[in-house]
Amino acid sequence: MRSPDEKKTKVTSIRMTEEQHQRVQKQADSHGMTVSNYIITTAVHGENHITPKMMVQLQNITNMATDAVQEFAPETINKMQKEVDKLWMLLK
Amino acid sequence: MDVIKVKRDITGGEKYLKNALTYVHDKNGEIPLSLSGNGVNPASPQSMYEQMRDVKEYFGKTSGNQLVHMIVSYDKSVQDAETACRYTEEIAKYFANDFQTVQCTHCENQGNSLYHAHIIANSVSYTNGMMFNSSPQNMLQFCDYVHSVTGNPTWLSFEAINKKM
Repeated sequence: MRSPDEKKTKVTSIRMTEEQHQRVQKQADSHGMTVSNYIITTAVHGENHITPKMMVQLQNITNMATDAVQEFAPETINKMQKEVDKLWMLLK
Repeated sequence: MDVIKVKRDITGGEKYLKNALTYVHDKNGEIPLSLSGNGVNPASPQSMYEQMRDVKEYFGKTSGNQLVHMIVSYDKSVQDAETACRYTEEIAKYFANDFQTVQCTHCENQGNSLYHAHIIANSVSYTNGMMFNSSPQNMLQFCDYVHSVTGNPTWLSFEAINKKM
């Protein structure tokens, strides 16, 4: 059950030109999002250029690097993950 | 026949997510035959939990269903660990473009199956924040994919865990 805090209870209508609407719709489609969710996500995280998708890719690269160095330089694994963890923190 | 069980617990909350990740990482002290992650650090249950949580927070969806837990019990014709582990990796790729996952392979004689895989998927997509759709229709498509990997017929079942809060 979704918590009351996460229920979307506010409704705001915004005016935009036909061209702007088309661009927003196109962007939303390319992200597999509704126009509403796309606008909320980009507005809420507008100043943050790090996205979950980027962090997932970075973590996967780190996992591959971890597998590669595990045998020869295991001491670097924790250092590497700590640096990636700092970037995860920036997602917030 | 590969038996695919989908476990859903919409009331367990964060504790259920933590428990599931710990179980996959370290089943009662038993090291799994294989363990890997997509978009999470599989070396640490706490890291996996926090990374899945970070994605939920980003999209404002921290409550409700926390994860989808799938168990794939391989047909008894799968007799070696290497094949079972390879199947687990291939099968988990089905979700990789949308969801963080952690997957492992266990060896346990269950009568009709010697090896099985656990796949834990975050309930929130890291690409667009959409919730995981574990409807029978969607999971039947997943079964088709499992069949394409293992070549075995598949059987799908659901297990809902509903506790009163």
